[in-house]
Amino acid sequence: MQQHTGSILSRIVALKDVSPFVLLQDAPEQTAKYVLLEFVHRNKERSPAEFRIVYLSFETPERAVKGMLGPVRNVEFVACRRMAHAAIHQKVASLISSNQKSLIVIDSLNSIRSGALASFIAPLIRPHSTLVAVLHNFPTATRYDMTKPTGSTQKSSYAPSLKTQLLYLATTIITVSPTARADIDEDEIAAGTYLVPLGAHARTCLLEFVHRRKSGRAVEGTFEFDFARHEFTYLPPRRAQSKADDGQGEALIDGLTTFNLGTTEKQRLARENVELPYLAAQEGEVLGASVGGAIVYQFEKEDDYDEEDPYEDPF
Amino acid sequence: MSISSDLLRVFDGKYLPVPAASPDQGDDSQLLLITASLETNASWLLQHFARSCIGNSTGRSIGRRADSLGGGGETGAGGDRHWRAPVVFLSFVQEFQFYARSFKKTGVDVSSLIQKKSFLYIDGFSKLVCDLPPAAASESRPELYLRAENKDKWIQQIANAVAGLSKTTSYRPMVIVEGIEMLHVLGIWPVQEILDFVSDLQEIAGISVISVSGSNAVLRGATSLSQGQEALFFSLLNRASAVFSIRSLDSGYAKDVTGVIRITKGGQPSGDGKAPSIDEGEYHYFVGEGNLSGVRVFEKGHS
Repeated sequence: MQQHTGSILSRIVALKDVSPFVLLQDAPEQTAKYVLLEFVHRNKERSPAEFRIVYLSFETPERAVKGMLGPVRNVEFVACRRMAHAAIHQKVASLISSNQKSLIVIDSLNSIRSGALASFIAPLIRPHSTLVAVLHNFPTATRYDMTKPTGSTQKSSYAPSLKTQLLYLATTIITVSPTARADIDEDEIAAGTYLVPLGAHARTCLLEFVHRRKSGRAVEGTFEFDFARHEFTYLPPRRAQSKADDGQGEALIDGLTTFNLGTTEKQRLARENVELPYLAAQEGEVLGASVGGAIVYQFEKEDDYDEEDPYEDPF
Repeated sequence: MSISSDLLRVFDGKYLPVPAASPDQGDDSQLLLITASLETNASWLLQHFARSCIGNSTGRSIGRRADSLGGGGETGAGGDRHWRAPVVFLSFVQEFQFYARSFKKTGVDVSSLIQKKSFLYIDGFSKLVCDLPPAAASESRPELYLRAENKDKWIQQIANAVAGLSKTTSYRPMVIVEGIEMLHVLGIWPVQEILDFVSDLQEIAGISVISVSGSNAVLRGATSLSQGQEALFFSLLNRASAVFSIRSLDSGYAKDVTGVIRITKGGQPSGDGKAPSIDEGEYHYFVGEGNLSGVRVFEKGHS
């Protein structure tokens, strides 16, 4: 199962497994663009006749995209800013024939109004095609409509936000985060300004991956992604948890003492498998019978118990 | 061919990077973002970038020192810069005379550069933020004033003005914008249109340098204005190749340190097969008496 989960992300990025809509979510400290580029990298060698990549750009100028991608034959660039959605759909339709395999990438969905999202996305999800789009997460302005004029009062709405809709629509969700938590010291808090952590936007990052199969079953996993080596490394759940919780935990211990205070994976597993005595009691299962909250004393061989002595029974 | 950035270069033996020409890397219209806290002013850093592009009146590039350069590369160790590019300077928080004086103190005669068509000053303050009286006839003036009533034509006006710049170099101009958040504060455009305006400028520019307020007092809040500022700020972070964050000294006042500058990567990747071009770090800087030549950037703990 783990082996299967470990390979499924690579297969989706190489478009060997079908996922019509892949959503990449990123954070202010870690961009998802490297994962986006990985989709292009894994498919750029395919012949333009059989496969086409369409780059829909809302935030990256054409020259910057060309600088990022390098020489790629099968990529078509479309500058989408200020373009009507219908015009974007027409342009995409003109670039990809109906039965041609294709990859459509969108560098930012943040400029789309939440009310217009479904009508924008739906025509871009096509047969034989995979749509990969980035959503930038902001710290607090999660529902802010960037097309809204300054000062206009936004009516409070119970309509789902852009992000909620995307999480519902996407067949694969990849959430990108830095490999090590940013170490924010007191100086930075005192600074009263937002500071990009040193080491942010690295080429190596953590990916939380959720893939929804047609059957309804979801496959989840955590990966470490190295863009320089174009590698996805599957992290088993416990390792992923410890990486996310205290990415620098082992590093903090290193150098403090000459003793080895770290634990190996084998030692950690052995420790986790130790059955602690109080756990059985908490479940109320002692001697095969449920005893509720009563105190139960189990006599052992060495106990000298006299049934006739009224002071013998402590209970 | 236009300017591509090589941020591994150091500036005058200190730690401020300066964009360097490396035509083999292609023309990638990068965005360098400068964020500043409320107590600090980024104008000295904007001027640094302008000077790195235009050089000073003597014709030598500012701040180049033979022993300070990184090895190899297009500019080469010990050599003068191989390129010059025009500068387009747009400020929404200062008038033209402020920068004319500031540049003059450092030996850069802006009026002369304007006449030579290698410097274009666009005034986004005098007619937009407050209606200042026109400068005296004897004083030089900016070539273009931005006015709210014709905001839809700004990019065309800028493109026309840029077309009139000197053609002695094949590099695209460096576009420097100070205080882009004012467009949101003044209600000129919604955040998305401001970002589109930035993209338009990036199309015109080789390298764009944009300053924005990064103060928590501006970004954090439940008001629509704060939310918009936050959306603008983080959208720009996502588009930037490098981020220069300036803040005041955390421990208070010091005679020989003005503040702290942190250099980090932005959300725009360096691309497939390219090594990351940002040397990250955090340094102290000192700005002496408003004289740009007195700016020093140094390791913490040194002076």
